[in-house]
Parts: sequence; C-alpha cells; structure tokens
Amino acid sequence: MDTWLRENRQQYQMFVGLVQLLLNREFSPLTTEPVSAQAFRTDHTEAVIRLLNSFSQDSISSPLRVFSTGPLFRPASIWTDAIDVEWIGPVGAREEREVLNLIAEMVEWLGTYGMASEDLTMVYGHPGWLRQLGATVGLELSQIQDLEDVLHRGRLSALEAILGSAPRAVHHLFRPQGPEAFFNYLNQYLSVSPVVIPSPPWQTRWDLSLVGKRSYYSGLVFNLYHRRTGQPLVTGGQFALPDGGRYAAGIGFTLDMDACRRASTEVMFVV
Amino acid sequence: MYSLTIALAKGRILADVEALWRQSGWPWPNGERQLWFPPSEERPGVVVARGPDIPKLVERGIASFGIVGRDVLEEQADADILEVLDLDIAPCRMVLASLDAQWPEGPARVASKYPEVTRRYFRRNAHPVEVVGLSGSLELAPHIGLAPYIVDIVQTGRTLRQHGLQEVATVFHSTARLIANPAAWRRGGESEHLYDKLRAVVEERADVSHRGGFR
Repeated sequence: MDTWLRENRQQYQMFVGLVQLLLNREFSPLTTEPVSAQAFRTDHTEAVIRLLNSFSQDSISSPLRVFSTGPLFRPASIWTDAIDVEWIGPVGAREEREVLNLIAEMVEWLGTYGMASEDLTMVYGHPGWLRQLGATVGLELSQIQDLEDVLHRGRLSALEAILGSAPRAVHHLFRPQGPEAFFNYLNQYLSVSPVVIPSPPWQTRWDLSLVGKRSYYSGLVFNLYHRRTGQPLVTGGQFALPDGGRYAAGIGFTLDMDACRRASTEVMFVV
Repeated sequence: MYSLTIALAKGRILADVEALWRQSGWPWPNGERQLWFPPSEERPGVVVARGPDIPKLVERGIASFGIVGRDVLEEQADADILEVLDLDIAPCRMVLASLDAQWPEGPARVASKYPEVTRRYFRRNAHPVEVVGLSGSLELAPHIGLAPYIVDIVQTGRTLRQHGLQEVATVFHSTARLIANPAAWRRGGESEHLYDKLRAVVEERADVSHRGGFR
C-alpha cells in the first residue's frame, strides 16, 4: 500500500505543480461537467467550447486562455486524470509556437520527476496539409475523405489501396520520420514549413498518418510519447468545431496524468 | 539485441504465424506451455494470448506489436491501436448463416461471438436486429431455438454444413493483421526494423504466389 500511496502522492504533486504553472502563465481555470448525454466525458474541448458560448460576446476578450481538469474516460472503462489547456481564438504560427513553448515548459518541469528529454519524442501531423496534399496529387474528394477516415480509425494497412498510384514520396509521408526527411518529401508537393521552437526538450518526428483522434482537428496536431509508456503524455492540436458557435476555433492539448506518472518512476518524491 | 515484444493470438492463426516468423529469420520460441518469451539477441519477445486480448495488450503498451485476425479488430473498433500491415495469412470470412439461407423477414435475432460486428452490419443494411451474445457453439443456436441466425467466422464452411447451416451473406473477408501500439510505432527505431522485416516476408510471399499463378 505504501507504494500505491506514494505514487498517488507523486501524481498529485505533479498535478498541483502543472496547475500552478498554468496559473502563473495567466491561464484561467474553469470547470466542465464530467458527464454529458448520459455518457462519461471523453474529451474536455467540446465541453469547454459549450461553456464559453454561454457567455455574451462582450464579456470575453480574445484570445482566451483557459484550462479544465478532471477525469477523461476511454473505452473499456479506462480513465485517467487529465489537464486540458485551450487557447481559443485565431491560430497562426505565433500561437502554435506559444502553445508548444508552454508544453516544453511543462515537460521541463516534469523533468524534476526524472523525465529525461532523450526519452521523449514529439510526433507532429497536420490534417490540413493532408487534405492539400491529397488535392495536389489528384485524389478525388471522396478519396481524401476515405483517407481521413482510415487514419482516424488507425487502419494504416488500407493506405496503399487509397493512395494507389500516387508517387512513392507521398507514401513515405505516412511513416514517422525526422523533420528533414519529411519536409524533403512534402516540399515536393506543398510549400509549407514546420513550426520550430528553440531547443525543445524532446526529439521531433513528423508523420502525416497522425491526424488526432477527433474529427475537429484542422491544422497542426501533436502527440508527445515517452519511452516507458504505451500512451501519449500529451495529445493536442489546432481545432475548428463545426457549428461550435463564436468560440469554436483554437489550439489546445491534454496532459494524461496517469501516463506522466508512469513515465516518471525514477524519482518518487519532490518536496 | 531486441527489446520489443509481439503479442500473438493463440489458435488457428498461430500455425500460419510460425511459418511467417521462421521465414523472417527469427527462431520460433519453443516451450511446451510457456506463454511469454522475453526478447533475446535473435528475436523479439513473444506473448501468446487469446485473440480478443491482443488489442488490449498492444493498446496498453504491454506488447509493442500484435498479430491478430481482422475479425477481432472489427469487434474492438474503439481500441487505440494502429493496424499497420495485412499479413495475408489465416484467411477466413465473417458470415451470416441460417438453416434456410434466406435474408431475415422483419426483425432478426442473431447469435454471435461478435455482437458489435453484427449490430454494425445490420445497421448498415438498415435492418432491425436483436443480438444474442454467445462465447461458443454458435452452430447450435438455430437448432435449439435460441436464434435463427448466426454471425461467425468460417474458413472452409465445413462446420456450418455439418450442422445443416447455409450462408446467407458474407459480412467481410478476414486475414491476420500486424497491429502496433501508436507510441512504439511513432517513436521508430526498432519498431521500424520489425515492421520492415515482416513486410519484406509478406511481399516475398505475395511475389512467389503471384508468379506461381502464371505457371
């Protein structure tokens, strides 16, 4: 029992430290319902957007920087405590950098718990580029939709059939790889460049097959993985909720506290 | 030295997997009733488990890869895993069968080990269905009055025929798939090596089979 209590204590200390960091960066806490439509919450973002849209436009200044905490449920009755951070408003390269810098700051703080940067890999994808690329290489709209559908369902084995006779360079973009190789391939078709933050505390890889679990992701998406955990520590990206009301777009991310704890087994206590 | 582990489904798939595994150059782990073999110099680690448990082992990162039939993956469509390669082994079909081979008139009562697959199939066909979940001996269901229809996998159809059942429709074709934990897959390194090795074997077999077809 001692170990269990110690691990719980460690996870709570992490949680408190991360929340304090967000408060120091002037993110505002808000509470969202853990259940909706007789189902447990699987996502904070839509609940946050619904909540914000209940205020009048005059009372909110943009961009909004908010966070919500509490359990997230997954299939098979698995749940985790989570911190969800949202930047609501128009998103460009500057906002992407700000959010990634915030994640880097949070990860560096988690380094106190033994999380080493060489064990961390940030993988980026981009559903927006995926759609542009599909159109550029001559895929029909229905094929692009099929492509997004199989990627959302994780059926990478179906990619070959959809991409068909597209050049091999296009096929390569759907395997994880370093930024240099990825953009060598991608820039043959699209004139885009990666978002770059100075000295990130992780290794970087790109993979167009990463589209995020939710259909509302519209631009840059990212997952942060640790060598010791099978689940991402951080998932997030730029989103645009269709029919989401006035505050339907932004960029955000979720920290999985259970995965963070499992990635930090080396140092059990920070006082 | 390997560090990753592959979870393999017990049962009908395992013999085909062994052939594929040996062709990749990895020694097949031998052990009478042993179900776990840690990674070694020559081969990845192996966990042998029931098919329906494989997606969970991979999702939770207990194994970085898994080999399991598409039938199991279709039933557990919510699992957070990546299906990265069709291994083109252990072929079978998921079928709807009954005593009279007729599409149901009105609401259908169907016995199946695959309730989600069954519900999805009937939803796609806009036909009302009541699914009776069973864990085995499905072929008895139409005979004992439990349900006039079953949805189950068949390889040759012999078991269906032995029980006087006939196919009404094919729900989908299934083969064994290589699945990956998204974290292990996207971090690359050894997972790329494992994937490339198995993919090369699958392509080699397809090539041989293709050439054989033109003899």
